[in-house]
Amino acid sequence: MKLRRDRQGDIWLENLPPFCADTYARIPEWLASEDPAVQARLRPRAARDGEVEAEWRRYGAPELERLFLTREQILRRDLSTLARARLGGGLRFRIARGHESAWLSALNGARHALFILHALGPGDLAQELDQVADPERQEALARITVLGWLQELLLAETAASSDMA
Amino acid sequence: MWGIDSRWQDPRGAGASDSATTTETRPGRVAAESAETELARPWNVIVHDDPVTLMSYVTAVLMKVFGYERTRAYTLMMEVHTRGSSIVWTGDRERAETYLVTLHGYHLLATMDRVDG
Repeated sequence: MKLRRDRQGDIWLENLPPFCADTYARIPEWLASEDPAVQARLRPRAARDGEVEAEWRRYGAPELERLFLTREQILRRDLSTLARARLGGGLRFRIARGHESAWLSALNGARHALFILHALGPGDLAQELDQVADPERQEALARITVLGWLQELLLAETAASSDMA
Repeated sequence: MWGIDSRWQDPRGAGASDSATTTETRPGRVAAESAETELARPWNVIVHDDPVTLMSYVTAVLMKVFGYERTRAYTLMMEVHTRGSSIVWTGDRERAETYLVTLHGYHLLATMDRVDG
């Protein structure tokens, strides 16, 4: 897996193994999970005070929903570029310039969604993958790791270019 | 940014001084000033720890959202990590709400709370 920025400032993720490409392609699906625990984590309380929380739900939450909607559209647009490179055969896709924040946020949200959907605990994240007996949990942990890789790559890239827009 | 915090955290706090001056005035004015005092009370924006979010990501978000230097953002992130939460900003309610939308937008666990007083 390789990340490079082109002359237009777009980021290209190249030489993606199918498992990584599949993981990134499924981010919108996990963010849209209807699991109540996932939704509770992705849309957490804003205040301990019930009155403040109620006001937040009325005025702050709709703004947040608009932000999530915009970011979902950004992700889908970028993921639509996912294709096999003409030469060499690896998969690649483009994260357009200015879309870095949407991706960083979505990657974090998707990690949380998978963590909850597979009932993982903090100790699981520290485990070596080959020590996880259950294949489904192993796969979920692998996907969480793959999502984290891209987060780290994007953080390094945006730190270098001051582009966490 | 931190200059604003220092003003809000002035131990002579506006609340204390307002209530002292209004005790001998008419009840309506007392109520109005009390409401004003309540409105003027600052709010904390608090980030809470979670087991999934990368530490480097929390640092980057704090730098981006609040404009903190890396060292300051890293210190706050470590406070979140080791103590379970950290007050990352203090100020007026409207801006606290705006910051909260942004932090939740990055999927950080964050809340806002009136500063005790």
